[in-house]
Amino acid sequence: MPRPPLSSKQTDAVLGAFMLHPQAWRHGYDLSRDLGLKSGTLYPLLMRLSDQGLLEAEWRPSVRPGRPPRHAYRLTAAGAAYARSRGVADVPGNYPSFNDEVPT
Amino acid sequence: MSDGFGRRLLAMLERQLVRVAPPSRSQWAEGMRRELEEIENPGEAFRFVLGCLWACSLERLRSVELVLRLAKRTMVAATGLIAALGLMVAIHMAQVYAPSGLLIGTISIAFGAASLLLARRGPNAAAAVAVAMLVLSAAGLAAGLTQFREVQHATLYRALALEGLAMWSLLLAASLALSWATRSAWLRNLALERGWM
Repeated sequence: MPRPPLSSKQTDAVLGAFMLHPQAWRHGYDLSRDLGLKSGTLYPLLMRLSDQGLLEAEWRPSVRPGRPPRHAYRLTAAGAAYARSRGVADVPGNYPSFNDEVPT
Repeated sequence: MSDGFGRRLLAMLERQLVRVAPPSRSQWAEGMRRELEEIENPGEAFRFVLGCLWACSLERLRSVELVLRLAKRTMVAATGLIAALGLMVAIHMAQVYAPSGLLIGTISIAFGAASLLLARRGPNAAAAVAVAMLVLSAAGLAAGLTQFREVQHATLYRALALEGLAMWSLLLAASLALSWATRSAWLRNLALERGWM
């Protein structure tokens, strides 16, 4: 039985963070730090979003030379639509800004 | 805590990440491990890895749900199979001695009901059927031992009652275990979805 989409303040915060730059790949640690979410809260949310096809994950080269690739995440089209349906995309000011990678 | 000990502890926790995560989440666990390499502050790295271990542990527990679903389907199939086989025996037995056929048929229908209820209403409903049938089996055994010793097929009825006691006890134990495990998994998911943990 498919799980219902997630709905919590943390989920909205994560969706909002992704929606600030919908095409940008984000990393777990950066999201955790910028949103003030513990990794134990953030990663289960990311995994659930991914399971529901709302988030895509892939290995991306690190921006720091000599570092191994990092697991990166961004919203799928369905994820962006879901974020808009929850209204989180309309209030980007509610979420911290990112100084991470620019959209690729 | 010395730097050396802290580093060793962190490295140990880092290794545990990949071990604790279920195979389906190995990429995620590896991703978490890589993130740790980006964290320069040891205290922050320690907090991050503890959170990641928690997340991986939750995923490990979540994978238990798949086992629970499989266990439920196996129980449904097994009780359904017993019901079907019992009905076949009942049909043949009815041609030899109708009361025995009726008795075996009734037991088969109870197994069928337990299978259906387990599939539709969950393990608690199956447990209720098991309790009812346990009482009937025990009563049947007691009656057979004291009052109906000379009845035709009395030995068969005693054997059926004994077998019933064993099988319904097994079904009751399995249903209660499944019910408990499912409820625990449900509570954990609820807590996760509401952000309580």
